[in-house]
Amino acid sequence: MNDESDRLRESLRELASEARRRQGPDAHPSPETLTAYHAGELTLAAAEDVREHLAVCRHCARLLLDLPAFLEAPAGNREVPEGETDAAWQAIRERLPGPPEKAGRRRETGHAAWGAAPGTPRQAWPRLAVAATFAGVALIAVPLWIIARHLSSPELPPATLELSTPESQRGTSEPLPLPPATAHAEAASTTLLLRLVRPQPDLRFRVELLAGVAAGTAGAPAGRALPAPAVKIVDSRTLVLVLARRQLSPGRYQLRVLDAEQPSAEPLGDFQLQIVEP
Amino acid sequence: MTSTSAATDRVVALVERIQAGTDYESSCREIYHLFRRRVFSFFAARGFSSDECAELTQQTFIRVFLGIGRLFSAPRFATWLFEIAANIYRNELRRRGAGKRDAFEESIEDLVQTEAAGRSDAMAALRSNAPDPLDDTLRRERLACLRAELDQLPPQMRRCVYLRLYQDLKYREIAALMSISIETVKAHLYQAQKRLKVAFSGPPDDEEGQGTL
Repeated sequence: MNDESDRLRESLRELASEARRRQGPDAHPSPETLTAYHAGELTLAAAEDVREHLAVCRHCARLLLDLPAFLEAPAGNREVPEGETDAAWQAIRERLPGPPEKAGRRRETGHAAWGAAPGTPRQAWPRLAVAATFAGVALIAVPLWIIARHLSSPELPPATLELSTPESQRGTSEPLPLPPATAHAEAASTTLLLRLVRPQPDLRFRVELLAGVAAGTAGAPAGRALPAPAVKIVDSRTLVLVLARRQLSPGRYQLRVLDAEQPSAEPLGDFQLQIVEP
Repeated sequence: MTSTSAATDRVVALVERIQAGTDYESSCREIYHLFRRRVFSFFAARGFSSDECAELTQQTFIRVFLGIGRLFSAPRFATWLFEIAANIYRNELRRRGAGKRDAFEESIEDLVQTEAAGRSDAMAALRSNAPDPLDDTLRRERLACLRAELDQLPPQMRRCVYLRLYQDLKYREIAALMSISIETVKAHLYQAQKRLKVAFSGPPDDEEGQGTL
């Protein structure tokens, strides 16, 4: 009986390795996605994708298991140790550029940027004068540029587009070339209503966005995958996706909705979208 | 105020001071000393040597202090630090993987040619790695059977099986990863065990008294 249990375990391990290989060597969710999963900030579908990966990936599972301890508040002892530990700090300090730009401080390279020794006179006025001049020019030029940009491409009212995969394309071996749905880049927002070919009763969807799907279009190289947009699930065959103004640059895109459980199966929906300048 | 919330408030205050450029050096230094042990331990837990951990910890903090101006939420500092450490860890794995791919590999063709030239040990080594055909067939059949049964399991149950048997995780760890209760994990594993054993070796003689996976 023990031999049989061992064989069962061994076989299950082999199948898990096989499932991991199917996902591909670089299919790990990013650390940012893992922390969002831990915080419960992912959509249902995205969280399911992460769970599916965690089941067969030791690296990511261990990362997530270590996260709670890492996030605990640091111990109260803030005594800065001397000697070896501080030598490590000095090595870091040598490689830092100084306070961040945001703080309005000088950004220079190396140790000297951390400030002159007390009592050292600074020749700050010439630099301040130059900085003030630039700030003054920027104060006038930036609003003018924004106004000019708005006048040349005024914001358009929000729009709604309903996208569906037509009958002629469903299940046929030679899909028909279809004109893409057209949205304006300058619309305040564009709501895309995605009607799927067939339902996914468990509401587990994966949405893929590919840029530049047609030859000769502007924008990214053909078929480049972009970060998956967030979608709202209406029902088992309807999704809603809202694009903000200028979220996508003008060009042609392909939106594919897959069954998250069987991403290699035929897509639940395959939509063409063209973003144009008004 | 508890010591935990006081420590968290202290971190937030330090991050805000660094971002504002106030007491920049002393604040950076304090942040480093508050978090360096856990960053070092993060890398040590992943099998790096002490020197490697020190180097990776240094890289992490340099990236932290270079990018801290872009951190919008100071209370999220520890999460952000973890993300940076995890990214550095993955980059290091990729770098080592690339190094391995550059290493010398001996092809099967080379081995065969060596054997033809009189080195019989090369072919013997090849032969010894080949599985017995009958065993291999039986193994493939078992796997196919088990794969079919696994595909029939509810996704959450299947994941619990993998986490338990493939990753050797504890019930509480599985529960934490899957965001479910420990009782649900136990129930899933018990049900899965019954179904998989039937698929693997036929119905059990005695269903009572079977342990969980």
